[in-house]
Amino acid sequence: MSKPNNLKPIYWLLFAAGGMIAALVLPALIVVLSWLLPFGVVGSADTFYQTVSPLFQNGLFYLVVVAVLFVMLWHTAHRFYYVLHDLHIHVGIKTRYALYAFVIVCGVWTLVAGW
Amino acid sequence: MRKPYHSTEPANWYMEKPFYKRYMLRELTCVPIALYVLNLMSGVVALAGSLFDWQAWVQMQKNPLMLLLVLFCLIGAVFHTVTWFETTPKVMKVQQGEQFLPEKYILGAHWAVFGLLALILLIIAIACA
Amino acid sequence: MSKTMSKIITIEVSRYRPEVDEKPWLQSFQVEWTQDMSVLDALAQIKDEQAPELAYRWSCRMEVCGSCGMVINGEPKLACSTFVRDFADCDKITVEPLDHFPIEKDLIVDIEPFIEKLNAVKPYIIKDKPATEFTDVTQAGLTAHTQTPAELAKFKQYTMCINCMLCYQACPQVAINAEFLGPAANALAFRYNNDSRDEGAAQRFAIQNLDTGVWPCTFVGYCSEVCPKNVDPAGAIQQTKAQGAPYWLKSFFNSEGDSEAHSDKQGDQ
Repeated sequence: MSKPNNLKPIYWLLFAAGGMIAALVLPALIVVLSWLLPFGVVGSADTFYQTVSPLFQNGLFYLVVVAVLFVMLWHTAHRFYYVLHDLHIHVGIKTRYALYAFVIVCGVWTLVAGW
Repeated sequence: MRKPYHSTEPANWYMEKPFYKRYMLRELTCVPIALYVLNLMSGVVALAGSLFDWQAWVQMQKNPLMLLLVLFCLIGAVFHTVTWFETTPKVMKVQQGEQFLPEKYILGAHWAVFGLLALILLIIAIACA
Repeated sequence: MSKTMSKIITIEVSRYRPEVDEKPWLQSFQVEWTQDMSVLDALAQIKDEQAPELAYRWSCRMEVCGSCGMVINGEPKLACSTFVRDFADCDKITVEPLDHFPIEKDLIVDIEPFIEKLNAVKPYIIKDKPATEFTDVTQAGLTAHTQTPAELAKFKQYTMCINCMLCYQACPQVAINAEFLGPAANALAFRYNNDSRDEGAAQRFAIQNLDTGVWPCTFVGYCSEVCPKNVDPAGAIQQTKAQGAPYWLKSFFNSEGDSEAHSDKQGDQ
């Protein structure tokens, strides 16, 4: 059996994980974080910060949060590559890697900026 | 004689059928979702930062343009959830003896978890805010 | 109106004569139809009475041989199980070939690309040790042929494929990339990979994990919609993406051996 010549299973597994997580939690996250909390519907946004920010100082917790966001963003980049392909725009490995690189940069930035 | 004719598919092939159009819309949800995840990434950085950082992020959410954008993101995210969950019974097969668990149970389980997580998130938000 | 009044419908059939035509064109026929007529019957009538040289494939007339796959009013369908009466309210019925394959003549396409893909996935039981190598005849029989109903149920749905290629016509990824293994070939690979009697999964996953294997699939899902036998090739492919991951990982740790699975086209698709 010869060695595989691509990393497609990894790209796809990350896509599947990100897509599943986004499907499960994103709508709720959007409503709570961008609407309910800022407009004080569920309480004070400042109090929210006071309560949870210690948790966000924890390295492991923050790593998990960034990993979840990373994988959701990966899923969008992976899908976007195939959108371009479906539109008959000729895309190859360079475009794919550029999209993934963007996701990695965003993930690293989020990790470093909030560490 | 043989002179095989090779048809070419038009670049707007997805406009030919409602089924394909729906597929394209599903795929395009990656754009609103990407935009929101980027927003969320800056939010998480703010939450790990100072109160001032967080307040700035909250203010940004209240900006009218942002509200419009987030609405667009929510519509995309919901459509993603609906279409993603639809696919799960095809991919997750639960075999019980010679039968398979009916598709509606797999679909139902996903929506149940969705509802549960939304409830938990709401409770956490209320408790912490 | 009298019930015995004959019903006439317009049927446009795609014609292509390689020695004369530059590209396919639609020829219009007026056809008198009855309640029990299939589109295949209508074609036969056209051939009998109006265009004797009209070329199309057919055989069983009962949705089991897979020969009469065509595009009827834009939908990939089997002509033998598509009925004229269902189009009574339409102006016309348009019958075209499965043009995701090269068109040879009229409604006949070159199916060789599909046959090659089918062969590539080794659609037969593969045993590590062929039955002939057993010295004890009863032992050979026991290991080669027993299977519980539950083991059969696991892959039975995927045995129903009649190789009609409607799924290839439905798939936009096949149209974009003719090298894509495609729905049916992957579904059949899945059928054998999940057959408890088979021991060749590693070989098939090696083919399916190539760039042109399962990976061009973006789960459009239209293949499963048009399949006359409810094989659900789309589901088979997504399950393969997941099932194939451990094999892919494992193959990294194998020594560089035979090159039975290699990509002709390097790079991304």
